[in-house]
Amino acid sequence: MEDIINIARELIKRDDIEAIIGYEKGRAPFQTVPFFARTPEDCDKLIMNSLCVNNLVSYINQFSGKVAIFVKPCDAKALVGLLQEHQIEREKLHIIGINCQGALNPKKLRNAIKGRMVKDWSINGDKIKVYYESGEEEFNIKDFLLDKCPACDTRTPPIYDELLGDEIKTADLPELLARVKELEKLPAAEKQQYWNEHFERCLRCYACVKICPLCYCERCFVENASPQWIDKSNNLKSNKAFHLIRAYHLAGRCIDCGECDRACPMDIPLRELNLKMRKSVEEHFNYVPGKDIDVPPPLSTFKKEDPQDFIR
Amino acid sequence: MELILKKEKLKEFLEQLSKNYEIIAPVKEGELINFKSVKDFTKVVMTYQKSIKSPKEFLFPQCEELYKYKFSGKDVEIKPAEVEKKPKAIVGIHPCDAVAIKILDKLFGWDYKDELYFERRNNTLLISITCNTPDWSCFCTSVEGTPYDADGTDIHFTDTGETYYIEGKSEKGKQILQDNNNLFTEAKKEDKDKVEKIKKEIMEQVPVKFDIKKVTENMDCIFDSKLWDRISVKCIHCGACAYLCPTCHCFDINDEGNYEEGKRIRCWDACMFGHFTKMAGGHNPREDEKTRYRQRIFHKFNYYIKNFDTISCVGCGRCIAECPAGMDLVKTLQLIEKGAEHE
Repeated sequence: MEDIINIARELIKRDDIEAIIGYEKGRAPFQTVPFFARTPEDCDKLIMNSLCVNNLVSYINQFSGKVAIFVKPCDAKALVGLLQEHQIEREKLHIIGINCQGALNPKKLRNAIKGRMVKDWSINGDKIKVYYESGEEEFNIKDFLLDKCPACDTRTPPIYDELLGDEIKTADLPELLARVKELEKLPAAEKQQYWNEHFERCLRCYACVKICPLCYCERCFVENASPQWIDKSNNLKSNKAFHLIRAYHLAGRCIDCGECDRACPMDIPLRELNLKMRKSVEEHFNYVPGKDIDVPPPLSTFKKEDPQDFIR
Repeated sequence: MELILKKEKLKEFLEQLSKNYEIIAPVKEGELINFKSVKDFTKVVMTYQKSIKSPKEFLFPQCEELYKYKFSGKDVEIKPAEVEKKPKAIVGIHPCDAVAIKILDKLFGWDYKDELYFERRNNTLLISITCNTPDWSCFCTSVEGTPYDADGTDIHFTDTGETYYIEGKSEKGKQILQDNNNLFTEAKKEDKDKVEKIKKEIMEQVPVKFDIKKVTENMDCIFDSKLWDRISVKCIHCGACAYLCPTCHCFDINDEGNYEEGKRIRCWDACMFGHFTKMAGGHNPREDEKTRYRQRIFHKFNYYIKNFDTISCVGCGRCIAECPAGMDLVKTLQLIEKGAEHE
């Protein structure tokens, strides 16, 4: 933690840096929240641990000047996407890379403590220790990882100006697309029912849209009134249209940070939709978004030799 | 009127009640607790931490039809919407959500008496339950509420472990208890004492977080404070807070249909959305997060008092617990409590 604070304190002294985007501790047990340090004193509040879950890159354009940003691999992958799509100016950024061995699901942890009042918590190695009003309890980190984490092959940010620690390589990961393949095997009617049950719950609060680092359209299709692409009412038909159009729009762009999953108050497994699109794009174009800034995204690139026989 | 219902008799009580009422009660959906129309009463979860949505949607649905229209030649035929006639009983509502309904009543009965809302409202029985599992985000005690006092409901339950302690509140509620008196036994003094003890214990779990009088006093001189810039940066302007809030009531009116026929509907809207105040000509008086977030706080803790003599927040904490960006209303109100000079 001291590393983070020292780096931040040095950076904020620089005239060209307006703010440092990172995390501070939230009020809830196991909660961290996005934090913007503007003074050396602010920097002392910065934290970095496996409960830092929010994707921070959406906040970059809130600032007019140059910012320094702490990025986990998920944030960095989103950053790669945004830089490729010219949404962020590279010169406006100082990127501090943070390795990640998996992030924790704060809600899952909160459920595990069964409503007991938590005084404090700390993370040491692969354990998280919870201090109650009386007594303490230790949990294994690996039991509380976010769904996206176990199969993630990016443990070191793909882009950074400085990296804390050494690059981490992965091996023997569980299969990322296992769940998608499982769903693909379901008969159409069951698949339909599975998604209908989820989409029926959708509130259309658009938390998934607004939290998504790659959802940056100035005017989202759902907001358009003329023409109105989908009904305002949250009926199943419109909810389904909304989620499917969104998934298509993220095809070849979603970097699987899972923020939509986390943000959805109604627990709709949106990541599964996006992973399905990822699988298709990988199969057809041999491309995985967010990995390498120098590999152009296939769906926004034109080549003369692109196959055209599907155009009739 | 205080009675005792053995827990195993709850199902029977709800079955009796369902002869005259559609039962709306909390059930488990995956990890979520949600109010649903229930037929299988074994699924009802009376003791729960927090339902993801408040049951306000059963009085004020997220989308509802106002009328249908149909063109024939130059004429237009209009058919007003009808509200479902069968009375509803909302069972297991927490005191915060019950108080919220009283707050909504004021708005919907203001300059125009909202017929659709009151048709449902007058046809709905409220059976509340003491909230004995408050969580970290709860702050009802800071906004003049308690986890056990559900003013304005018809019947109130308290889970005492093996039994429910039941209080008849309204005449209608008392009559229902009377009609089913074979299911209950009279509460004794020790039952009453036990409930008092439970209340005291729960109150300790929801400590007062700020002085609401000071907060509302300070609101008038904080409109132009720099505080709003700082605290609103995190907000991602989604509508999760407003849609989960038991007192938020803003709606938008739209038409859905084709050239021949259609319906006019009203749907929830949220002041955090960028297009909420966007006008036909393109001007948007609340263009940034700051003005939108400030509006939300002012509406709840200033304008609502001026219009209806009450704040429009019951401390349920949903907006805090579910905010994907970690916005924290309690922290905001604590800052306002300190006043603008501490910005």
